[in-house]
Amino acid sequence: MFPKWTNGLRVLFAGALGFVAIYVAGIVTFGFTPYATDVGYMPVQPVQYSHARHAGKLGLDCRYCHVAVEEAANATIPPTQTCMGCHANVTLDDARKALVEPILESYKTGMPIEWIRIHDLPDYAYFNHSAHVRRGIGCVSCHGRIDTMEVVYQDQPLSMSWCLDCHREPEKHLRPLDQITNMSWQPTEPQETLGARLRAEYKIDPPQDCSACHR
Amino acid sequence: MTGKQHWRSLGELSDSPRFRAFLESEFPPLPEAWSASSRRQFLKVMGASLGLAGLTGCRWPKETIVPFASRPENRIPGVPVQYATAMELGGYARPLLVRSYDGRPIKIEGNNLHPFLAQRGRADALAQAAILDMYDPDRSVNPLKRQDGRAVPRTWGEFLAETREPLAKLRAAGGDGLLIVSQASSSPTLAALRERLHSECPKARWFEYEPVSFDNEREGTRIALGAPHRTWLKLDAADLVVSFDDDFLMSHPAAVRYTGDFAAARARADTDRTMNRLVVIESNYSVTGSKADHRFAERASDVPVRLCQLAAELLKKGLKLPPAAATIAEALKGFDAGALQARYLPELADDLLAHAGRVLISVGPRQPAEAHAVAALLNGALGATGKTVAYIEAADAARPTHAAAIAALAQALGGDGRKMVLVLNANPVFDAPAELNFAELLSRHDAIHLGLYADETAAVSGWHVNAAHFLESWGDARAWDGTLSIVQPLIAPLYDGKTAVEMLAHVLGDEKSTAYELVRGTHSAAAPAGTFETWWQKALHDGFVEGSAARLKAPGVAEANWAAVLDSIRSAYAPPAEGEFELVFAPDYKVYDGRFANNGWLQELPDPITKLTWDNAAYISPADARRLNVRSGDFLEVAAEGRTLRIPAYVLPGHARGSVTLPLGYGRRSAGVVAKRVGFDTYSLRTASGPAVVRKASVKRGRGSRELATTQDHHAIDSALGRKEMRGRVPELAREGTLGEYKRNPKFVETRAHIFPLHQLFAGADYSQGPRWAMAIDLARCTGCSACVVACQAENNVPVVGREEVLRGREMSWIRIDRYFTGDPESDEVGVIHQPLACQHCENAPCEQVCPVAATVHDSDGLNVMVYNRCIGTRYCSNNCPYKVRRFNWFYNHHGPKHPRSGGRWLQTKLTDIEKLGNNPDVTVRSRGVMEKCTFCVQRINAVKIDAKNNQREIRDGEILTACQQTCPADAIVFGDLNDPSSAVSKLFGNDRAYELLQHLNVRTRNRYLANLKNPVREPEHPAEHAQPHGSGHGAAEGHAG
Repeated sequence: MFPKWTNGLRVLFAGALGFVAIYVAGIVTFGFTPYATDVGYMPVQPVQYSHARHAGKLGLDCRYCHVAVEEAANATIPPTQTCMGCHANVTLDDARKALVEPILESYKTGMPIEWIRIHDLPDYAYFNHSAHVRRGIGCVSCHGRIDTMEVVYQDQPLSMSWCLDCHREPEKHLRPLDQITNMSWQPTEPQETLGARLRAEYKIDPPQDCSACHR
Repeated sequence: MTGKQHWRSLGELSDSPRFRAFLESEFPPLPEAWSASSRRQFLKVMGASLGLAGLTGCRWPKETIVPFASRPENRIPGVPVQYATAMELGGYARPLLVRSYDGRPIKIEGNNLHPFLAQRGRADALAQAAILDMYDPDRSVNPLKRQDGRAVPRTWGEFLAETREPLAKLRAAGGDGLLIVSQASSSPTLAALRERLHSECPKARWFEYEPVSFDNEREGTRIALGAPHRTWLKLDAADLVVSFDDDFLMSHPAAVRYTGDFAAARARADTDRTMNRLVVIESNYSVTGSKADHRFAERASDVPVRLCQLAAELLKKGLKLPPAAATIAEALKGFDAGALQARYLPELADDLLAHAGRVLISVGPRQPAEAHAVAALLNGALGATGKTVAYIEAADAARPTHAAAIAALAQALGGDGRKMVLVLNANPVFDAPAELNFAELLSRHDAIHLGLYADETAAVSGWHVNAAHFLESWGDARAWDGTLSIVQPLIAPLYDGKTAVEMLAHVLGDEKSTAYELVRGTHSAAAPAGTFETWWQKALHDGFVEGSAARLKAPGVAEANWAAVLDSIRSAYAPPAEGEFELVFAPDYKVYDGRFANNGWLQELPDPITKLTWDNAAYISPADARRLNVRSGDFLEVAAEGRTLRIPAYVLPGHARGSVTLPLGYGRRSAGVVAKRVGFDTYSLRTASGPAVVRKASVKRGRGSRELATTQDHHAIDSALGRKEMRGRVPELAREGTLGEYKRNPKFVETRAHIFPLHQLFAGADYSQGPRWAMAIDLARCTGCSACVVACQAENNVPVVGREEVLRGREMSWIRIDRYFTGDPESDEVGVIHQPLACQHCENAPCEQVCPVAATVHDSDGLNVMVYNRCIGTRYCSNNCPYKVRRFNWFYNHHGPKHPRSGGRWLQTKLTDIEKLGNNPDVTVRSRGVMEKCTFCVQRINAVKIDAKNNQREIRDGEILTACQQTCPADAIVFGDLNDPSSAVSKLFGNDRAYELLQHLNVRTRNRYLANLKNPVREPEHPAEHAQPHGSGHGAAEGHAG
């Protein structure tokens, strides 16, 4: 029915199909690698602020600095004023004095410190911190063990599928509302039972609609 | 199909070739965008994109977070805050509430605490669009000094240094040779400074000029009531409103309040089956006219005569006049209604007498003072004064009229000696009477011009100083009802602009005082000691001063020479002559008197009646158009008093014969890029002898024509094939009935369309859980004022596309207002129905079914959601949308190659940094290549949802307001949850007048329209009902249930 030369096309066609399959798989895999999602992104900040020291060793609550996290979409980076609340009264040894120099400078001049954004969602995704931390999702779920980080880096992929994983199965991540900022909290019962109970109690029904985050 | 004919435009009605060509290409001509580019340009662009291809794979741009060094109290980054302020226009404050994100004002709404707005928080289109003016990159950014014919940028400090000495000299001379020209203002602070100026410099002269004003009302009430007054209409208390050329629903400082009161009186039809009646006698088709139950097209110069004839008719029928006006009875005899063929007057007189005490007669600001006097007299005699009409005594009774002021100024400028002229925000070179030749007059003197733009007046002034926008300034102003508001800034002046009070302080030798100190100073002087700070905080917070409204009065008619009043009306009257026209100058609905000409939102806003964008035109009646042999767009040569103007005609059904309406404010010569080459300067025909109406003018057909960018035929629902069928179906789309019909048959809407049995092939989604958002729009309330269109544009970052793109049908507005004419275009009684149309959020959405990439889907609340990131721009959805409410974005970040700001010459692909500040950060800024449409303001829904969930509470009905609903002065738009049977929207869905648009398509919209209602004196002889029974003469016979 077909001329003979078309026999070669079969091989060509199979080859092309195989190439497309590999290509698509390659692109998708690449999309999920930390290279593309920026897991581990750890820029040098203008102030060598150590979360490990402040949140870990000194045990400051996250909300001492990130005040708006329960009220607003943004957790907010604290104003220099907040730093000075303690540092005005703290004497540091000479080695560490240099570290707070930019803070003092900013406080003196009133010029803000330009921090580099690490957890950077695209502009068309509207994430709201308050809707999560007031509903049983701990800081550690998305930001990792900040209290052990000398320099903060991105711990989770922050991709849409990663968001949706949790929106589909919030039980895996829910915790009591008084343990939100506790980085080292461990459930005393199996997470699945606790999660299911908390989900019912807090009436958690995470939206999976596009309109939940995209407007 | 019998009954009233409904149609969209004359082009459609006559099936003109131009209209047909437009319809046949649903997305009109595409390839032109390419034709301009050469091969070289193509290669350049391709080369660039190849070069950029190598850059992919990097991390997205590094972003910084910049916290305050010291955060202000109560300020949470990213959380909007609202502040009360006010905008002064024409000397009257519009109370506003402005939303600010991180110090950037984003959205203007009405002040919902303000008593003048009846605590309803609505704002009109002009006030809402003012925010774009503030971010306008064309604003003047520094003082300019004119040297050798060139404007040289200077600083405020240099201005102070250079003008200090001459001003000191002037002060020493008692102000001799100092002339000040200002706009009308109700600011107590400005008045206090003016007082100071008059006491320190008694020889300085002050002139207050507005091209459009209520001076005739002042002068008319001065005749009739003995002192100048403002009229306050209590539209909610009136059963019969007769408007003589008064557009109180749109062109009025109290229009927002009036619209609310008027709509409430309309909506009584639902509760107690009564309704107010509106009779409008006017020349141009106004927004008020479009809501009339009876509208009579009369030349504007005939209107005073009609009013007198009505008075004569009322006297004949036994109306008792107060003794003070007894002389008028004799004088009125000359106005015999019969002889002048006003067939409707006897019936109108009967109706007025039947409703005495619950009627009101209003007269428009362009009618002569004498007409206002007669109206005040009639209102008194009909028992309206005190009940439906109240008066507010004018504060500045001694002020000369604006017309007198500008004439006196011209005289002073024409005299000997070089004078110092201080122009405060006014633009007399553009808007003063043409024969004064103001540019030449002003250039002979030393002028200092303070203004937002380096405009026409700045061009002939020695100094121009950039003014602060009202959102950047401290000030104070009074609303139409006299309530005092403090104007507080939302942001520090972007370009260090100055306010009028600061400039005046400088003239008085006070360079130190800021506007803040001056305004506080004015009011602290009046407050009892120790209480001022509390008073000030409360005034700022509330946006008004409690109890500061003027007292409403009901003065009796004063002794006046009524015979002289009537003589003046009679002598000014000339019967219509063949081939002769009157000219009527009207403030434009969008650019007002020209001051908003550089505002893209307003330029692109379709005029409520003509649907004209980016242009003005001479409105003429179809009969005159036929006689002159012109169609819309053909040029007319309009000549009056030796001046001529070439302007395209717009054939407006329902316009009075022998009359031409010329909207003011276009054809700006120096205003910014947006206003450039837009429209025609009608001020060039306007002289002191006819500031509003020119009685005698000649109009002939001019050479050539200009394509007018009207949107009325855009998004026509049908193809050429079904157009005839469609015309029959318009009564089904925009349904209308009379009150009588509504009483007889509450479900009259169902007679306007066939009810098909609607079957579903597959089970629809279940929306019984959670909210089910829906919207209801009451056509009986809607006046077409278009405040919702601007609200949507501001809230949702909707781009402006420019005239060229509007002509291609690419305008982007998410909500449009369809305007349908009803009745015979040649008859006087051409009606209008306004129908706001946004996405209908069909549960069974046709757009979703054709999207190949699932970029438009339903969410669990039943919203039809548009996912910009999935959209690949096939535009299938738009093709399949029966309502034509989807918009394809052709533009890069609001600015395409043909954007007005690019002048059509170069590719400006980004918003300027200043413009970006004005975007709403809660809504994605879309770029080229995606579809967009109404989202039911999903950002507002989500904000309330998150707050409700965080606080573990239910969402209250009315807590979520869409932007269009929030601002609707008529309360025509209601949004809410259908799953809550007690919600306002649920109740409206159950209203007898509710109907679904294109119900037979079974798309199950989440929108209901409530049919328009009219309240005519008599039922029409052919009620616009379906005369035929089901199944005959309507095409598709199959599927009928009967």
